[in-house]
Amino acid sequence: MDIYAEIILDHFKNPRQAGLIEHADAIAEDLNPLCGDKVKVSLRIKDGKIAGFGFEGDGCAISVASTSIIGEQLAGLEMEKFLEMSNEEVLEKLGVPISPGRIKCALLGFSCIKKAITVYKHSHA
Amino acid sequence: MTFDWQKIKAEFPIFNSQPELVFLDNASTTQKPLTVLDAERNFYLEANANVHRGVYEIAEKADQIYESVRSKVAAWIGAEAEEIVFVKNATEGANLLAAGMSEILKKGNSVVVTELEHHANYIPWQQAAKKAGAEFRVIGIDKESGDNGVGGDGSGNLDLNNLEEKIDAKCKVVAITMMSNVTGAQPDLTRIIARAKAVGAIVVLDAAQAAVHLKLEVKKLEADAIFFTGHKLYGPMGTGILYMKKNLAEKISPLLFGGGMVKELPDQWLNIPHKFEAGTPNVAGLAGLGAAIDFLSGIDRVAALEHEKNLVKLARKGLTEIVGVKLLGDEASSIISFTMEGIHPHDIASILAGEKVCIRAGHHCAKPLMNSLGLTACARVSFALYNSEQDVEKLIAAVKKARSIFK
Ligand SMILES: Cc1ncc(COP(=O)(O)O)c(C=O)c1O
Repeated sequence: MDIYAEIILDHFKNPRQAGLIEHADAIAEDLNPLCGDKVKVSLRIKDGKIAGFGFEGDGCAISVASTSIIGEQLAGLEMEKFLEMSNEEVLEKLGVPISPGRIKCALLGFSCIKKAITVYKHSHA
Repeated sequence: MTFDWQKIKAEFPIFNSQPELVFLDNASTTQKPLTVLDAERNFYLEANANVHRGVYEIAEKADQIYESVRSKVAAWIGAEAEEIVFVKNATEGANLLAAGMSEILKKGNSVVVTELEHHANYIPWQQAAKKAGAEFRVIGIDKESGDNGVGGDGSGNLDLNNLEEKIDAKCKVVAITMMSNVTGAQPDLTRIIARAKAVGAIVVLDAAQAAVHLKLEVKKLEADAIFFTGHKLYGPMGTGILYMKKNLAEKISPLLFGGGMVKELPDQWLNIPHKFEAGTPNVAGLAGLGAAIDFLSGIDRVAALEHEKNLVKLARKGLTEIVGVKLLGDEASSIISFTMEGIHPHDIASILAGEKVCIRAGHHCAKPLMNSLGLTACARVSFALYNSEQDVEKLIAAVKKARSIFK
């Protein structure tokens, strides 16, 4: 299958949960220095579970679509479960082959959400 | 005059192993002709010994190869052999100069670079100025008019209106590119160098992009130092050239200390250029660089340039006809950077990669310029002697495919 499969193009053109949420409990920003992709994520956390998510992304189709696809699967997920997720699992969820040169793009949103949750955990420990 | 690109291309073995390859990332690095590969290999097969005056036969041969490449490079750019320092790439050349100058610069002095610089000719000077407490000044690009996002005459070239203020009596170093690796713009060196000389500043030229396209005549250029990198002129990676005028080379300290550069301890170094060449050099690579210069000397460079120009013209025309494509920079250059509405440069490059068309996307290690252009990234196509009209056709078809995917 092609990297620019319909699922990627669809999420790129119509990112789900686009826009930051109000009264977020956790936020983070990240940058892919290679291509200048930027992402900003916001999360609401309730009883250790992800209760809301929104993001802003400025970058390539892979980084925007991957953040959107992951974001879609967050509702109700336990924070800890998310943190346990591996890069490989994330790449698998995207369902398209990601070449080595684009892995950083594909994982940008994931690592940014991780960062937000980790900071949240530390400040609520 | 016609240029036989097919004959040239046949000299590059990578196109045998990768017959479908459309290589348009030549500003990053060029492919290597067989003669270059053979020269490297033959060094190891026939003359592998360390340099620096071994007395047995192959050591003498190694020394002879090493110094003959120095003479060859010198002759190629119109310099003296002792003015040629071997470094590992353009970046090391710039760092050697900047570190050396950082010990000479004083508070109240200034160092001037331009917005067109690759990070290699920007950051070392920024650091040197910081270390010396000197001022770091940047000549910007002309953004006043022009309709292709780069302003001015559309070439993305420098705004020299305030040149006399930018390069004033405080200025001790002017470090400037001969050709932008993003827009292909070639600054007005005559004017800038004249001004630098008038205030007594030394002039450093980054010829990393220019060396393969322009004939470098260091005496005519009147620069104090010029550096370039072997791998962008059909030579091996890990080889670079730093030309320095004798009085500058004698004034500045080495960047590296160790074997092969000491006359007497402490602190007495060998004469130039050897004082800058501590440690075992990349002799095999330099043998390859010698072969690359022979390769370049053996072709009709006027016809070759004409060939590249025609391809650029064809490519610019084809790209302009695609909806949403915006070209940046100098029409006369062999580098074409562009953006496309609604599609990120990295996605363009990925789609092209799927069609075996190799281009580069990103900030091209020129963030000051990208910031000034208001871009985070752009796609870049860059040509070499082995490219053909078929390559351009495949490029255009692939960009059209990208357009149709991201409608
Ligand atoms: C204008 C310019 N300067 C310097 C460099 C650095 O060359 P190297 O990476 O070989 O040191 C490059 C190449 O990327 C370049 O295009």
